[in-house]
Amino acid sequence: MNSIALQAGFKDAVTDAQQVFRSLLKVMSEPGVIEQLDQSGALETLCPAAFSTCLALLDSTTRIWLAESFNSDSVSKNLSFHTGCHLTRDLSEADFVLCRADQLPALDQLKLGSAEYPDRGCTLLVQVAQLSDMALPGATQLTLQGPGIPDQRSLSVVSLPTTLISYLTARPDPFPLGLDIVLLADNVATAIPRTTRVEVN
Amino acid sequence: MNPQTIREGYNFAYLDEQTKRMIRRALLKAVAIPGYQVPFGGREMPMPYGWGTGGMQVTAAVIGQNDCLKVIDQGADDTTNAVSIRAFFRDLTGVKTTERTEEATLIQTRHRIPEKPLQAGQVLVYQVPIPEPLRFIEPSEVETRKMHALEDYGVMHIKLYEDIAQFGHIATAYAYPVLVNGRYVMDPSPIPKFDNPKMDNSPALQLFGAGREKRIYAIPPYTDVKSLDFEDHPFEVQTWKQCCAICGSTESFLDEVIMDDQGAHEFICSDTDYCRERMASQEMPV
Repeated sequence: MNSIALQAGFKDAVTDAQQVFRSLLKVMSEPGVIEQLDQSGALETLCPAAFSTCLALLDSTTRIWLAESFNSDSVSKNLSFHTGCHLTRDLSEADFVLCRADQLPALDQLKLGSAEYPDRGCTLLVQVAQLSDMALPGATQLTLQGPGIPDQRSLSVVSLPTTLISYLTARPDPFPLGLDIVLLADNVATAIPRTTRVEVN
Repeated sequence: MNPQTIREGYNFAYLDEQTKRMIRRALLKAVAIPGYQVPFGGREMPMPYGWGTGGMQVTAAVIGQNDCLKVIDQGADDTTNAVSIRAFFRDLTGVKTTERTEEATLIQTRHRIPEKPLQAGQVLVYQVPIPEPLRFIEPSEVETRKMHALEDYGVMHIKLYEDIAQFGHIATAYAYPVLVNGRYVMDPSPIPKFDNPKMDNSPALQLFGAGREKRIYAIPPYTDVKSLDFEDHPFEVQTWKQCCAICGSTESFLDEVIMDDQGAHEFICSDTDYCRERMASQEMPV
């Protein structure tokens, strides 16, 4: 029998899901703030923060698109087993897109929702190498402004892809449309929702 | 948290995990689009619509074991609605509860914002009866959606202008419409307009739940919230000639209380925690 090892998810499904959500709510409402997210372990190449986010947000009513490097049997079986989510290969119908920084899909193909229902847009989960509020060597230094940020906040991201940087600085989709982006690195996370104005230093 | 007091046979905070996830996803979109109303699959709660079922569902999706919960109804911690909802979550989660604004991490409110300024890290959950500020002007949801999409808010200004034409001033005293982050006109729930300025650039996260109408919306911390007005009729809050009959405050929102059948009446603070604390500090021996 071709068996794939199932991996443990949350230790305490109810409490861990709540804590992951509270961290995500914190970073989404205060863009650039970095929160610890390690309620689960890593799943193959998915970092703990990425796996925890999947476990907390996905279920049978959500569709997720996985980038090449994450789209292994082990990851898809484990995600299906723990969350019951639908894996899709059609970018335009994915509620969540999970990718590594170097395998970003074409951003203009992601679901955007409509002006009447901008909440139906996709949430982009990007696993990057490193995140910090201090300047990291070799990192992209971002200055964020907008709702959730008193004055401005700096964020340092290692391995932020150039397509994402140009998306964030250009914001081709007029508000209220836009992508809400969660950045995940090892066991921490931050977010850059569509309202955040981004400058590269 | 005290596991001994948790009522058996229910999931933590009453709602099942699938429902919580659905509400949580809606909340994440709500904070990403400040002031926009996200539809959600509102569930039946063990109490009637109009008693705060929307606020309770939001609270149930957000609350965790480390939270300290405060519930107020028109500013008061000790009225039926507040006591019942506080007891509900105490029994179904075992979390700490408090009446002190500064101790709470999570505050569910019906129609008031506490007098004491909220702090960073606190979450304020509003119970909302009618989430759509344009609903009394335009009954069709399809139309109001379109109006929000096109930022077509002229009718709202006309409504306020009609107040001025009729009464000489903007007579709207509660549920006073606000513009969030310069984009969405939002109903702040029926809080008195006295509380509107507290929403602007608040360090706390503000979440809104409407159970019957099945809508969730939010204001992230440090977000511009502007009460609609006109250059020649700027936004103003209520003032009183009287002070609180209990604590003497001249700065809080006052409720009028009828004292007898002779027409005698007094004004007292609507925020019971604020009033109690002021009394306690006055009684302290110097």
